[in-house]
Formats: sequence, structure tokens, C-alpha cells
Amino acid sequence: MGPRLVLAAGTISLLLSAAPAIAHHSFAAEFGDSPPVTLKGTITKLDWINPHVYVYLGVKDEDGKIVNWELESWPTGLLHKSGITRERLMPGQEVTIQTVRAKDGTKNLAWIRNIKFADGAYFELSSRTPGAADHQGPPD
Amino acid sequence: MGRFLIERKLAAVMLFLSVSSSLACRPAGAQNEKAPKATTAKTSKATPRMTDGHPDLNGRWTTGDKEFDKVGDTAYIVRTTRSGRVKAAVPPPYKPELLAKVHDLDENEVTLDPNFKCHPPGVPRLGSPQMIVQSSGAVVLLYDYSDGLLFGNWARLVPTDGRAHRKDADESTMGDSVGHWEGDTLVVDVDNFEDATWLGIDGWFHSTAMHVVERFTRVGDVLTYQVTVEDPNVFTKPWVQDPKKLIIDTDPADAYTEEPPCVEKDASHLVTHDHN
Repeated sequence: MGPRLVLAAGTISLLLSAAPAIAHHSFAAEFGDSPPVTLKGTITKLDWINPHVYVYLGVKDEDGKIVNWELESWPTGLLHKSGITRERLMPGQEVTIQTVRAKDGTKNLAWIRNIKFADGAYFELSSRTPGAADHQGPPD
Repeated sequence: MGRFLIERKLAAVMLFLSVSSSLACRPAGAQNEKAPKATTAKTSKATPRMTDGHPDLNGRWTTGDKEFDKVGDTAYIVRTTRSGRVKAAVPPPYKPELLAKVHDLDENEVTLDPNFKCHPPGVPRLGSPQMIVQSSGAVVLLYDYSDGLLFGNWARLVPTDGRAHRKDADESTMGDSVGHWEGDTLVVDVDNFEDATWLGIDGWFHSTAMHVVERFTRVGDVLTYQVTVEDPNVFTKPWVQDPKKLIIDTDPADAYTEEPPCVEKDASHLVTHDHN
């Protein structure tokens, strides 16, 4: 991570730490219990909605088949303030996303822990709720 | 839910346009200076006034904590800190025999709170407006939430021309609002509520007998917003919420925003009913 990325990550981290640590449900009620999973793929669809933004990511599996992941994140207001605008997440972009999978066993549903764009921009989006504490850390 | 929000957003735009065009008595340049910080907002400054003599409430208003402005549920949450939420100092005074019901609703908030699934929060859960558009005969209250507990845009038209409550309207989440001036305070009286909304995330239900009185008092650059909620069916006495101080905000970065739709998709994936 170069100096520019360090600055970007630091800025986002500061913004998120200052943001209200609240949501309409507990993070731990839906995600966690398993090690983070890092996905590299292409954004196929974006639901820029509240209370959660959803990014759909096409990821190649071991057989070369594209598997679509449904990745959940913060509300639009928080993402926008953090520098992740709707345009940033438009389909077609290649990204690397570290995720925390859903607890209920739903295949390929996960929470976005951090995201790295092709231009090198990196955003830390770890939950600030206690349930996510075990999953915080630097990206792969 | 998306349909409802779109209708609300259209209503907000139409009301804004229609009332903006009739701002005949708004003093020019009254709120064009840079927004003061909460610590520097003055109550000693002369209160800007409309040509009819009433205080000028026009503008976008902030709590001074911009990370908190778009969260919502402000009757429930006084403010947030890194360690979590600071709950309201004055919770609703429920009748003792109803406390078990409140507790049960709270325990099942993620399945029972109408707001959780994007149902409109209604009055008074909407809290103080983020923006006010004032004319000589009406005030429009605009709401804009996208960052925490409430999500969407809403608008309320409050006639201040002396008319009485409507008798022909159906009960609604917003109720029927009429305003009048008591000195320099705009008093908004709201009745005719349905009972589908909650007053806060902790299972705070109400009945159709609810009656809400909101008071807007501008002194200098500070607007004090205070709410009293009466519901003789569920409360032992009126719920008098703590006054909330707001300051005028002209920072372009805080401009009123048309929010994306609220579409709840993860309730079916929750493995516990925990909420923050």
C-alpha cells in the first residue's frame, strides 16, 4: 500500500469511527462466525438502496465458472460520506473485496469488510459493532 | 415500500416547488452567511423575521453533529458516541400494565418494528425536520434520512392560516397538522394518527388516540424544537421530550438530498433478534 492509499484508508477509517455506531439490526445477528473470505471479481450489479447497499460480484471458481456473490454494506449515506459513491460501484469494475459470510448458511451472501479498486483505492468498511471486532484487521 | 417512498418524494418536490414560489415575505439574504458551529451559534443575535413579523424558520437545520443528522430516531437516541448510543433521558411513560407488551415488542423489534421494513416512521418518530420552507400561510417540513435508523424523504405541509383540523381525512402515519403562532413560537398540533407506527426502536407503540404538539422557537441563530406526545390509552401522563437545539446550516455539502429507496432485504437472514 503506497502513501496515497495509506492516506485514503486513514481518512475513511476516521470517517467511519466518527459515524454513529448504529444500524437497524445487530451486525452479529447476520454475519460472522467464519474466517474472512477474499473475493476478486467484476461487479455485475449494484443495488444502491437503504438500509443496506448490495454489490453483486461475479467471481471465477476453481472450474473457471462465474459465481455471483451478494455482498452487503452500509447505508448509502455512510458510504457516500466515506467516498464510495454510486458511480464508484457501477457494474463492470474489477475489485477485490474481503468479506464476512452470513451466519444462516446462505451461500454466497456476505458483508463487505474492505474493498480495493483497480485504481488502487482502498476502503476499510469493517463493522463498528462489537460482533465484528474479531474480524477487523488489515486486508490480504 | 419503494412505491410509498416514491410517492412521498414526489410530494416533497411538489410541495417544495409550490411553496418556494410563494415565499413573498422571505427577507433576502437572511441565511446566506456561512453556517456557524454549534459552539458559536448565537442566541443573542437578532432573530431574522419574515415581513409578517414572525421569526424566519427558513433554511436547513443541523444538530451541529453532522454525523448524526441523517440517522433519525432522535427521540430515542440523544446522541451517539464511539461506545454506542445514549438513550433518551425521558422515555415514554407507559402504563404499568403495558410495560410487558413494550418489552415483548422490543425483544422482537427486527420482526415487528414497522420502520425496520421501511414503513414510514411517521410523526413524531421523524423528529425535527432537516429543512423548513416557510410562507405567510403555511410551513413545509422536510425530512432527509440515509444513515442509520430511518431511511427516506418525507414532507409535511402545515397550514398556519388559522384553519382547524380536517374532519374528512383518513388516519395516517403523519397525522393532520395545523400550526399557529404563540408569540415567537410556532406551535404545530397533530392528530388523526393511525397506530401502525412506533415512537422509537424499543417497542414504543401508541394508539390512534395519540396527539402530538411540536414547538419551534427561533432565537437568534438557534432553533429549539420540543415535542409533547399525549396518548391517554397507553401513557400515564404526557411524554414531554427534552428540547433539541438546532442551528442554521448553509454548508452546500449538507444540502437536502433525494435519497434512494428503502428496500429491506436481510430480515430473513438474521439468526438472532439483537438490535443495537
